[in-house]
Amino acid sequence: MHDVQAEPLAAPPPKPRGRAIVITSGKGGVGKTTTTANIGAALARTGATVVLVDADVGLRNLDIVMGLEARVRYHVLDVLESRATLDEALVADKRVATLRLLAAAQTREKDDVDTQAMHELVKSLRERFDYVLIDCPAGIEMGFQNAIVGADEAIVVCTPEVSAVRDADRVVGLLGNREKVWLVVNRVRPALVRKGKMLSVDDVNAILRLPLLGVIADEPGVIVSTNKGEPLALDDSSPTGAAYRAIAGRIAGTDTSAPTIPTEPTAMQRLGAFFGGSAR
Amino acid sequence: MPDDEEIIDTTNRGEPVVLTPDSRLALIYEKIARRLEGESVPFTVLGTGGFFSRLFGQRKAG
Repeated sequence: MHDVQAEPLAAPPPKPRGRAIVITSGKGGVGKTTTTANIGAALARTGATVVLVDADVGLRNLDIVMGLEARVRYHVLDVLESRATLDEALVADKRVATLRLLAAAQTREKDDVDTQAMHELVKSLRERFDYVLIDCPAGIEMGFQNAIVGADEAIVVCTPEVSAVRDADRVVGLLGNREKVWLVVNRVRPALVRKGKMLSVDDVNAILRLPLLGVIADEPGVIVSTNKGEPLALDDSSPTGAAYRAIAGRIAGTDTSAPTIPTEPTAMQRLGAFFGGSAR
Repeated sequence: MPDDEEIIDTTNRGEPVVLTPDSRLALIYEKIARRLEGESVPFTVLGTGGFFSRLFGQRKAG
């Protein structure tokens, strides 16, 4: 994939404020960062201007998942504490011209973030971008509060595990009245669901009762793309990438289809994956 | 620890996998416990099985 020259996002004519959406879960390790990266890339690919904000201060990861770690010069606390301007801190994506990243500080702590300043930052980002996606840290303490403060919409990521569902349920309660709270069920293994060893999407949502935004399969391609720093949403041959693009379409309101539940690959598809060499 | 469906299943059922008889994952956790006790225990080699065992889903690790 070739390097897209970063275009300055010139001051646009007055337009409606962008949407601020926090990606959260309560439980750690369920895929918030991967979800943020992929939904952001999918939205930006349609031409929307998108900024991804890593709110996981002290444990930054989103830059790695986006493959942008070498481009990070300043982080969100540099902006909040006036050591850098927003323009200096926004990192242009390598692949999608309308995508930007605001990295988290690595050597600071979550309690260092001023909640009111964070709220103001998200407000100013909404003046410039169509979408502000905020990658929330695990937990429900200060880092969570700072991540949700400026967002009027939320995406709750949950895996089909009893513990993840309980934490997600708690988070939904803490989110309170938002314009919209959606659910993404991540890491579904259809074969295990069929054997009754894993909760189904319906089982998860019988507890959470949220509008279902999408279902993502547990497949090796996600791990590979995360390690490579190339979101699967930009891979046209990946079914998981297509699932992320459908999620972006549902957020934007351009895709009104109901989310599909991943199915098990057939024996022929598995053979194809072996001999075709495609990471699936 | 390998990423194994046995963990998903036992976790959801609220039964620590280490109490499952004949489980290879239980064996790995037992080794961890023994190392905590100061014993020197060799690490389990996590194989991915041969090509055809992968193809037919009979994942074996030794």
